[in-house]
Amino acid sequence: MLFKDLRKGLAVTIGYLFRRPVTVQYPDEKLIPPVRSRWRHYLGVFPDGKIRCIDCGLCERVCPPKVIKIIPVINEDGTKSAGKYEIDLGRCMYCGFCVEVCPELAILMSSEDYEFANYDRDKLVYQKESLLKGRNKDNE
Amino acid sequence: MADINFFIDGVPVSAKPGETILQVANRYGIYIPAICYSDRFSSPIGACRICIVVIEQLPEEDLRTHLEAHHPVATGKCSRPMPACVMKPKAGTYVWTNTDALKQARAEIVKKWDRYHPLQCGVCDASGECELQNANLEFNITSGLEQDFDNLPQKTIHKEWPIVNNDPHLCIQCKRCVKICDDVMGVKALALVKKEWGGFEIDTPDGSPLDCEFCNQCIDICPTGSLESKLFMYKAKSWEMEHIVSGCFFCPAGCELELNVKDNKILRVTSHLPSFNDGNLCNLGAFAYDMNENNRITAASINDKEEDLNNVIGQTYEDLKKITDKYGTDSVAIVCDSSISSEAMVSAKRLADLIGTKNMLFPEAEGIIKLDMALEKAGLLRQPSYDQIKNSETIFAIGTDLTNSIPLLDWFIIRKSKSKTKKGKLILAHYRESKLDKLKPVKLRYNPGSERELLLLLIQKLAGQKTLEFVKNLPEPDTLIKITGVDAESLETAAGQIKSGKLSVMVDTMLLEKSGIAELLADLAIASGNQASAIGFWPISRKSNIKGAERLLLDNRDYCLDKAGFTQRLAEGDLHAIIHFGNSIERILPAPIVSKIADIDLFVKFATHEIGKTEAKKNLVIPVATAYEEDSHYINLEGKLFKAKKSIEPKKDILPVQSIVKLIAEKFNTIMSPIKIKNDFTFKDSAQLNYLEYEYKPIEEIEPKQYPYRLIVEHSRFRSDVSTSFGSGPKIARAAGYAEISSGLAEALDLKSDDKIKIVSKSGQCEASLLISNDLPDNLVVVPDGFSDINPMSLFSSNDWCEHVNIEKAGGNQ
Ligand code: SF4
Ligand code: SF4
Ligand code: SF4
Ligand code: FES
Repeated sequence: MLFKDLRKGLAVTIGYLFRRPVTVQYPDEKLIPPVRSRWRHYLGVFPDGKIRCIDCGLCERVCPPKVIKIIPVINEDGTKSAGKYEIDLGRCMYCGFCVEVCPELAILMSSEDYEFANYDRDKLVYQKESLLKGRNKDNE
Repeated sequence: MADINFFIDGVPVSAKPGETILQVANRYGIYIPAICYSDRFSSPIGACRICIVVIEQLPEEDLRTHLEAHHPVATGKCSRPMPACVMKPKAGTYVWTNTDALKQARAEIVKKWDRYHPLQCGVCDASGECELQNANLEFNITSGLEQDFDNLPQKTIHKEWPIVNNDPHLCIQCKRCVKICDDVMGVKALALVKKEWGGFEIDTPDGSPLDCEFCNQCIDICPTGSLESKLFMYKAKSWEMEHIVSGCFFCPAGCELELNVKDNKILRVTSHLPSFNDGNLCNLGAFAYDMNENNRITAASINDKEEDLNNVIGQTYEDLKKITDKYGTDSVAIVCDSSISSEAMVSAKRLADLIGTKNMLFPEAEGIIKLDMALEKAGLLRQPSYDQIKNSETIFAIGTDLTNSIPLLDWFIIRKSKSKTKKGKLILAHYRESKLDKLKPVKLRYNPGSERELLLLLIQKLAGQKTLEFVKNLPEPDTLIKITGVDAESLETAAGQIKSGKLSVMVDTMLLEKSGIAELLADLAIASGNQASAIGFWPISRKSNIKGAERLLLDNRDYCLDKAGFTQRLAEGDLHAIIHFGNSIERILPAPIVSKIADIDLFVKFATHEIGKTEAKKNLVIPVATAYEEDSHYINLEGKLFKAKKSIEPKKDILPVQSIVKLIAEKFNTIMSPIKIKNDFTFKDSAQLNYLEYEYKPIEEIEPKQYPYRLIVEHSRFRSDVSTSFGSGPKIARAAGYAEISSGLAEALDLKSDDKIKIVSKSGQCEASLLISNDLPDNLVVVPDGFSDINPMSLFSSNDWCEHVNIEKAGGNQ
């Protein structure tokens, strides 16, 4: 048959034309990520607003690409908290080890907030302030 | 005594007499868990019982089959569990360290500790180096704790203690802290005290806030986070810090330590075993590390105006050139502190060579050089080692409080006193009490200023008639006894003990500067009847590199300008420029000399810390790096070169001394090679011992009416160089300088403790708060050195350490 290969190829293409598309028209259209997916980190707080992190250092230690950095402070009541908390989300591999290891449930990962792409790598280094903000409903 | 042969876990081992089973096992690399045991103690505690073992006595033939079958478990009847750290082995016994029953018993012990232990490893500073965590891991304790947090005993957390934070909730009552404070420090500040709730807690015996030497030993040895340093609290986790092995440069002992560094900051200082200081550190070594951040000079300046470093270096060169062109190279003098590194000292000498001057002055090293000169003549010049102290029969210390001068020697002596076999003898000749008096030494209390007479008395007791051959004008013993005020009986005992064998003589370098002292000490050592090799001389100073200064000066004897010569040249207007390597020249030279510096043309200072101010017509200040910020070398008291490692990056524009001198050398068109300090110095041994001639002249001390009290400068274990005043630890332990007088005098003058008083001498005055002591003679005023807020040198009018002062209430119009 003439143009056998060409016809075969086109058949596939035409076949796809009539099927439902697999991709979505992001950002006009958005998918709902699976409930157990791991996206942006955020820091938990107690009901009185106090940060939960006690700087035990386990997440810093367990993090494979070593992108977490905490500098502790001593609070007025003599307890220890994270004074600074920094995660480089640009280098994070989203393994979730930090969440798993945290004994205080202080570091969590959002299951839906994945929209934090940026043109600047530096802006992906998230500080405590921004990690405390933008919590999703798991934290409420 | 013969070695004892026995078996541990089927391995044949042999114990030296006196060794415990645990020590033998450690030596053979057989692991027995141990918590309360430490090599740093003179004897075991036996409190934790983690080290339990069982001992089995098998008949000979059973043993053979037993071993041949290679079956390393107990088969016969075993003893009940015994602590291996306490038990001495018996010949032919079989010790089993790891039977199932033992494993279980150990796990039970750990569970007992865990029972009320708060689950707060997350914030505990010990986490990661905690022996309780390790024990839980080792015995795989994961369940069955029966923790009962509802009925936790209410223990008192001692937040009010300075430096040491004591949280008894974390304590496992191993008593290591109690032991080390008693056994090593001889302080006994801690005890296991029964509390109202029915149990025991670590506390001070009388419950008052801790007031001790703040030495770090208990913090360092606590297996848990119960005792922690407040200066380190919550700063970093143990695994995050880099441990940089270095040496301490705060006093000439040069203890080995580890700087714990994170993010270019020293966060704490720890130590390790084995080390010659047995892992011990004093307050300065352990807690003065942040002096590196406080009160630093950060920029070069000309007449107090900040300038670019290169400008100041250029200016230094030009000014020196001008002065040497005009007045000759001999018009420049270089003055060095004795607490700067050997590299800095050699740089100073290279600078002297570049300029072409030989005027180098090490004011603080004058005593040590005098001693060396005398010892050389007497044939006694040698470098003793720390082992020599441990082995010497007799230690004779004169004019020095070792606890406050060289803590390491204090620990050696305390450790010696605990030893069963090598106790040795101790003679303390001093004008007041000291911590070592607890060891019941022979005490020779003399009137300050009568050291020569005291030495003459001792020499006469030892050498008898022969004394007259080398001492001219020797007065009658009775006269000498009257002048010294020493107790005749103690004198007799002391003389007897000095004769009894190997001798270590410890003497303060300030005392050595007085004429005749060095010669008489040499004579005394010879009169003791010892070989030269059995005599060790220990010049005691607080200046960390005094031995480095000694070496430099002995190697370059023609570079030696003494204080008298310097004073004279300055007075005659011969000197036009002074270059000082050190923080504050007014702390190493008497006030009238310092005030003369105002007339000279140029004063250049290479300093690390902002302290004091010396005004000449033109002042240049060049900031330099501390020993934390560069690799440098120091020489310790036993003559060993050691390296103080660079552990942090200095700020911009702060360079090591040698780099700056290199830049200056470039202006002189010279390329300076890097400095390498070698450890190849040896003293020339001499076979012949000669008595040194001495002519006795009674010293008429005029006590002018308006200055009725004798001024004495003492060392404090909480300060050495003034820069240590800027460390947090020393500041907490002793916030400010003080003036000490006897209670009798205080009463007579109607003064109370902590009153602000003014000390006035011929040449100056200073203010200090008053401390009243019971052990001082009534005619003394004692002032410590090294405190940034009070400078004893400002009271001295000459170089001979003999000054009289008056005191009055400050602010009063007396
Ligand atoms: S002492 Fe040890 S076991 Fe206790 S909280 Fe601290 S690290 Fe954890
Ligand atoms: S700091 Fe030293 S002197 Fe003070 S309690 Fe601890 S071991 Fe004893
Ligand atoms: S405070 Fe520390 S060293 Fe002292 S008994 Fe308790 S656990 Fe042992
Ligand atoms: S180590 Fe032997 S009883 Fe503690």
